[in-house]
Amino acid sequence: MLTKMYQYKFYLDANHYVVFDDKVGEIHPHTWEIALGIQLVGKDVIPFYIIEEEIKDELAIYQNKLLNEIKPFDTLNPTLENIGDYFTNSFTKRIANQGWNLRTFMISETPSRSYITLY
Amino acid sequence: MNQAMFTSEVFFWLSWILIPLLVEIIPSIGSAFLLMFKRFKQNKDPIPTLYPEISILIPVYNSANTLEACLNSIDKSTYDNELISVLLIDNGSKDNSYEVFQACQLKYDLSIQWLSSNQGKSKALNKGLFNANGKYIINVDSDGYFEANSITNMVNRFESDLNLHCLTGVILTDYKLIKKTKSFLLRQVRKLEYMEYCQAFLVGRNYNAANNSMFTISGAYSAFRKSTIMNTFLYNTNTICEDAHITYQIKAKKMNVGICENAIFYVEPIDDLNKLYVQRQRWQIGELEVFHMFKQGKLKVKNLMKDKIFSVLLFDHTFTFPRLIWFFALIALSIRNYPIMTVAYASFIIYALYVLTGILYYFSVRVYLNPFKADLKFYNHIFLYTLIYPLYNFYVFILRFMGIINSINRASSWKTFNFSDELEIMKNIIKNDFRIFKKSEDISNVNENVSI
Repeated sequence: MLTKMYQYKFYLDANHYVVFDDKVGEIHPHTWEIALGIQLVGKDVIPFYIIEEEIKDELAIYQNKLLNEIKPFDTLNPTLENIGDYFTNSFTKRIANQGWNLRTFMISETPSRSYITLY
Repeated sequence: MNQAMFTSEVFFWLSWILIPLLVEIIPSIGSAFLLMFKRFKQNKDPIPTLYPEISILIPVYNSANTLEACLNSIDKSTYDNELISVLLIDNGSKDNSYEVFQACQLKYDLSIQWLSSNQGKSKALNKGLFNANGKYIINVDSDGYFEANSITNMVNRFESDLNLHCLTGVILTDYKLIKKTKSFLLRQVRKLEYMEYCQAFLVGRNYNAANNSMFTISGAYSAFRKSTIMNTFLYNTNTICEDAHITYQIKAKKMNVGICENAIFYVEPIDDLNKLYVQRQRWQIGELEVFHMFKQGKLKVKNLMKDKIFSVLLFDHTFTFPRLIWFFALIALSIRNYPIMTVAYASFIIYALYVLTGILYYFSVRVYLNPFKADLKFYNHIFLYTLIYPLYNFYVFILRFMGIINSINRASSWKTFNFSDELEIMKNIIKNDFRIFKKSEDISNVNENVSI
């Protein structure tokens, strides 16, 4: 059967620092690109704005902030992988509430460095 | 004349004339000849067999008045429209920039896309970088326009030298607007500013590029191989000087930064003296800020002079450091009741030497402007401004010096600022400027913080 999907891209501008082997890194900024692949279930069309509002609402909590000061990254080391895993879960729930499925998630710190989760 | 007086006289002339002569004037004569020689040696870049696709990133912020001229110059450029993809990245415009974009999209046979971003130029540029697919990525400001051959010349240069990873174009102010300026005083300032841009790019940066010591590309017109910029951490969004920051990143990877001296981008001349005041301080503060970010924790006074970046910063085309020494020497001499006539003669000689190097620079600029007949004509017309250019230069130097003082004031709070914080900080800094020089207790505070 043909699988029908949408791709969305979002951007998160924020600072973070990471802890590796008990060494606390410097605070530095990123522009992360987050690309979502969303599968259509049932209906023919997903109006773009519905998903966009859902995701932007969530990202707004972190925009232009220091991630390490905001839950859950106050206790969870905000590595690319941890950020990716956290948003995968949280976006999956938000998108499921609208009745659709998040199938792919990709977060990139540069166009040549990305972390991907798949269902 | 007795012995003591003779000795002090010799000492005076040595320190007064010799220092600027050695640290500034002789090197500048050398560099002027070197640049002329470089130009005569230079071959025309070969034309590539196949021109590549390129991306042009233009951050947009309330650009309704200037955007069309910018896009029009891309459309009219000699580079094939089919190979150009333009990305306009809006970062919070409140005017009708979007409508201008839509109108241009219909009008021009050119691929133009619109992206939205958080506020801040570097944030906008990062979004652009994620979406740029061209072999070369060109970043320009929305308030300027390309010279017709500019893009082609830039690509020719990249294609002919695989060791060039990043290039700055040449920024000149629009001579047509300078000519139209109504106010007499402002017109003079704008002509001097034009001369300054010519010198800053065609002499200053050109010379730095020849020595592989260029540490700031111009944010208003810069170009990268996509492969180069993908190797960086993108633009840093915590600084007001993201162009200097990305240059440092590229330099740190041992990649080459150059200038394409036949790729011109025209910008508007300065609005008024107040604007000049704010702009130059911003540049100086930004440069120091980036320097600080890269040097965090590693800065020791004894190593400072050995540091290439540091010396470029201080001895760049503004020659901040040597000027500083004898600017204060002048004050010290006046206080110590030195014969005023001697000081006056010496100042006159120094000034004459400055004019002389200015004229040399003038001619080395001229050989590079040669292919651009309209600019050359205007440049010929302002030749006599070389006589007063050192005064303008000194004024700009004072502004930059105040920028240094101000950056010392904010040194404790380097960390993270957003755009509106940044604006607020800039406003306060500039409000406080005169206070710093008036209040003695403020001066003592500054001194405490000087040990960077």
